[in-house]
Amino acid sequence: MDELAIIKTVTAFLGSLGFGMVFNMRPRHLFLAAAGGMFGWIIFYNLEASTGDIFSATLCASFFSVLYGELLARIRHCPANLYVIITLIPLIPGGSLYYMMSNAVQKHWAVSRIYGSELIMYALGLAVGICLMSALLDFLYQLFRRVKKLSDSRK
Amino acid sequence: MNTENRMLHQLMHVGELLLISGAEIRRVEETISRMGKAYGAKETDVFVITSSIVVTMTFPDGEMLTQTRRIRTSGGTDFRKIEDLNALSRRCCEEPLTVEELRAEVNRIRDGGQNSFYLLCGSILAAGGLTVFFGGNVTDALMAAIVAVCICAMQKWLAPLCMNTVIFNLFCSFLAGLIICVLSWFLPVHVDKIMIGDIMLLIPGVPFTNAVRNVLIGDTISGLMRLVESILWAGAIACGFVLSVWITGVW
Repeated sequence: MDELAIIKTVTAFLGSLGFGMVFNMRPRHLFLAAAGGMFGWIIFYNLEASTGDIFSATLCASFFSVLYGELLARIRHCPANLYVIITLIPLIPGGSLYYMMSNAVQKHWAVSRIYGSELIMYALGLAVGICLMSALLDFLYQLFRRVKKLSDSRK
Repeated sequence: MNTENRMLHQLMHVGELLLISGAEIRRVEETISRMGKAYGAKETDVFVITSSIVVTMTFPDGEMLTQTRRIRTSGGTDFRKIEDLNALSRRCCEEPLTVEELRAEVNRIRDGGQNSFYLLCGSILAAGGLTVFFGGNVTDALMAAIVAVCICAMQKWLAPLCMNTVIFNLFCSFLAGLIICVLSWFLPVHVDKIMIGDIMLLIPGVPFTNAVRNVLIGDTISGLMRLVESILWAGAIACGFVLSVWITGVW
């Protein structure tokens, strides 16, 4: 990984940590949540570098976020949403939004459209990723409960 | 007022507190429902949207109680309260507290306000970190941190004076943009990177994520309400920044 990527990784961690504090997360959860943000970003960066496609990169990164969040929630007995949101912070397309807006105001329509479509890719990747993985995990959990009930009633 | 009524009243407090701290609709409905069952309700019907909670409980002796709560504040995020309320609901489901104890616990959680210093440090770290993340250098990060302090001050003192969140965010982003542009006259900084770092502080990330999730898992009404509110919110922030830049002529 080159120097730029290392800086981005470290600041992804710091940014997630900062947001954890802004959202008044208990200090004991902060480190793991911020680490999740960092890992999520690393996954995104590698996928985006190798495939060049933002949508699939954010999709996989948000799959990871939900998995990580749910796993930690079970281990630490706290709501999953907390970890999931902090892990997703580095993926939020603040830059695309800003450049789309600023170019639109300066009437550079073509450039604005490029950033706009980038923004939609990010947003869709995040939204679809979160929902798909949440649905899958919920399905597996219900399946597990059903199987457990069956095996308990057999005993 | 009999015990069941008082218990339901406390459950409404729990639901309201969860909503204004940024919990998803599902979580609020399930929490109230589970706690109601733990306290002896035979059936609970809970309906939650972002601005209202309606609960009807049926008890084994045939008594039916309904209470509603109107939620006016919106969009806050306080993970500590969500975690504490979640822990409280788990405790009550294992072994229900008395109504008095429940009331004391809910008040304790509600009054445990946010530590301003923690919030300030978090904002500085988040704004500075994300400015560099989006390509700024150290000077940009410092500027973003200074503006983050101003934003925190505005959130503490300006927000109570504003009609609603959208208007407040319009003012806040306008003032933040002004500060950034004025600073850029004197210092060699990348205005766009600093603005991105500070925009991230104001973007309604949590309400937006919850809204999208709600729409796609079936709570379409609440999801759409929050989604529209988040889009308006984001639009207000965009307008505020654009206005400030246009006035100072930085672009």
